[in-house]
Amino acid sequence: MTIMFNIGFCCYLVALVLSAINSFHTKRGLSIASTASLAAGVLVQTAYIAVRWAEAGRAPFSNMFESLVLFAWAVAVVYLVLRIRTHVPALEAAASLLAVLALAYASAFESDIKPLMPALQSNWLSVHVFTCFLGYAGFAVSFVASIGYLIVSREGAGGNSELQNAFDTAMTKTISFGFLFLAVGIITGAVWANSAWGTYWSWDPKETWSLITWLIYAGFLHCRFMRGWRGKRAAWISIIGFASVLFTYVGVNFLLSGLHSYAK
Amino acid sequence: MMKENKDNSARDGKRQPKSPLMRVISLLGSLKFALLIVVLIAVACIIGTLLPQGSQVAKYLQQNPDAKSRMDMLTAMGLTNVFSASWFTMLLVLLSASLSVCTSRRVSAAVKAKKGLVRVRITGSVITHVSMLLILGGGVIRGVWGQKGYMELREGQMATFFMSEKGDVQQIPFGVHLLDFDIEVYEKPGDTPAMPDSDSLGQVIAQWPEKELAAAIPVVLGAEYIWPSELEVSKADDSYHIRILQYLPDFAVDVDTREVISRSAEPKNPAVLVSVVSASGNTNDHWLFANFPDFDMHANSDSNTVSTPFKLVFERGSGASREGPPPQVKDYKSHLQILENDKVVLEKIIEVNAPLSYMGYSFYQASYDPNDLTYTLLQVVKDPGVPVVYAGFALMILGLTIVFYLCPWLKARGEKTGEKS
Ligand code: HEM
Repeated sequence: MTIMFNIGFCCYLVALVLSAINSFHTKRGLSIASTASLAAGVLVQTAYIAVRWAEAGRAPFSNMFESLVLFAWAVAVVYLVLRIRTHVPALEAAASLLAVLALAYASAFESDIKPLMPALQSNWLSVHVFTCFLGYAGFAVSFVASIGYLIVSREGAGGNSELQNAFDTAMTKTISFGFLFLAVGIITGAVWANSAWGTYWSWDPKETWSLITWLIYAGFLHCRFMRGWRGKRAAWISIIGFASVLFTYVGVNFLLSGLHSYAK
Repeated sequence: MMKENKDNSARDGKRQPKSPLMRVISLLGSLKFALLIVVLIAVACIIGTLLPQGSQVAKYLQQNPDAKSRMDMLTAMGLTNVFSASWFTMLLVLLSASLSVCTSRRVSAAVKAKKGLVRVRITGSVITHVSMLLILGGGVIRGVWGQKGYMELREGQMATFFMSEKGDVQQIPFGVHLLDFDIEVYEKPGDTPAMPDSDSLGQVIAQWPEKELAAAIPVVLGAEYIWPSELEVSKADDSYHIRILQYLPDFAVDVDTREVISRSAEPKNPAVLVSVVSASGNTNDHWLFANFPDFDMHANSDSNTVSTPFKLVFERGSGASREGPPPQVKDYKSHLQILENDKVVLEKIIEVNAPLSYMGYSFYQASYDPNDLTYTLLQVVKDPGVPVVYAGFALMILGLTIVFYLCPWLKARGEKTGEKS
């Protein structure tokens, strides 16, 4: 078990190093090797999650450790899907870094498989967590793309319009993806809450923060598509949005109390 | 705010609005106004999670007594109950108004649009916006017609009412009968079982010092033992029939009925009723208590009663003792029946995550009492808005999928076929 966790971690680490080098000295071989390494990481992690699932007899998405593993996996998957169309080595490095950081942070938490309290034993819960984390992963990739955008478009950077466009596309695509999946995540969470205690919405801090996050990205989409906001302004909204994601995911658990506090 | 609104309508409304009504409508339909409302709602949500809300205020004041005047000020500003404050409701009303106006505009735009792709995209966004309206509308239905409260039941009891959250009694048009309540625990190897099973209830120690005799008789309900056995005594009439009649985990005498009852299923005051019949037919019933070995309560008012020449002590067994941490609860279940005119019309074992619904009322397994395993607490909810909200959920997913995935896919396909031809 632990060995698979470590192999996955190493794959992401190798992808990080290779794509970082590739960002400065772009070579076809390096591109292929780093993406292959990232994909291998996803495969190993998928196997890790599957084994854990079988061992626990339930979807392994129910505490901080498990959710961080899922987050790393989802970031890698979202990035790989995005890479089919848009390949920016720096973005690959950033996505790998996110996965590495998430797994490193995960190892700070207890990884034992624990039995679940009754309210958590629901398929809706698994779908809820899974879709939320796909959404968060989309936003995470969009966050690094926005940072990339801001870096290449800062004054004196020469304004590489090809890179700018690539970052801009990545940002918008991943936010659209994240927005849809966060919506599904919030909805399945609501359906779960309704089946567990008869209230689909109770303004619990975690719930409310996921709504805040969603509203920020709704703002992004409207500014972007209706008012034609592009570039820096859009990038900043995306950064604020991801700050909200982080607060929803981690901050709420430690700073605020509520229904979700057992998910610590 | 007024000033800014005017700016918005002037800039966004391309046709100059004429009547005040038209002006209000064009303001509501402007994207700037919508964004302002969305931002305000987000800010309200942030306030509502960062400041103590409702019942948390009292707790917060206990920990920070100096904050009293600050809290009073926040309460006066409506910031300590954001989500039930009228100003927050007002924001949601404004959002709904804005959504309605721009959606109806988009509908007419969709009708006019010639290109199929534009139509699909607008349809997707209209579906998305309508779904928001449905979700908000479902919330209104819940607020106006919804009911919520609790129902307490013990095994065998039936109720035709529940206590609402506001504390008043709400009648329901049928009866809810609790047949049975059950708790399941996670069993770890080496754990003592939570519920006493009869063979581990303990044993009755019989001591007859004069004859230098002692025996341990396992507590098995209904079992009969002959003691001392013929091997141990010479005369048969020195033998007694010992019968284990009853076991109560938490012995008590009901104040009203003077009947012996068990206050709970927890082995807090385990007691066993033992009947001792001598060879001459004298009967002697004793209540023996694990917690009070010297206390021997005679249970019968039989005139034949004579005290026995030996002493009986009840030693609790593993099932009647609670050692180590209580086992973790895996599930709790209530077996419910719905009765109408004394007829069972529906029957279901409910558990957490699996409620029973009947005539718009849903019954949720809410809690239990570890000290009284015949008791269950049900949450009762009536929310006629749920189907509307769920329809909104489904449309939301549909609308977003159309906008973000169907449209780009159609577009890509259109470009490809365009290239080919
Ligand atoms: C929080 C609630 C809202 C959500 C979740 C939402 C969601 C969306 C989405 C997903 C789109 C499609 C974006 C795209 O075309 O790429 C959209 C478009 C749009 N939204 Fe909203 N929206 C909301 C509130 C509003 C409000 C209040 C207005 C009123 C002014 C509004 C006006 C529009 C307009 C005019 C469009 C473009 C429609 C079109 O292309 O046909 N939205 N909205």
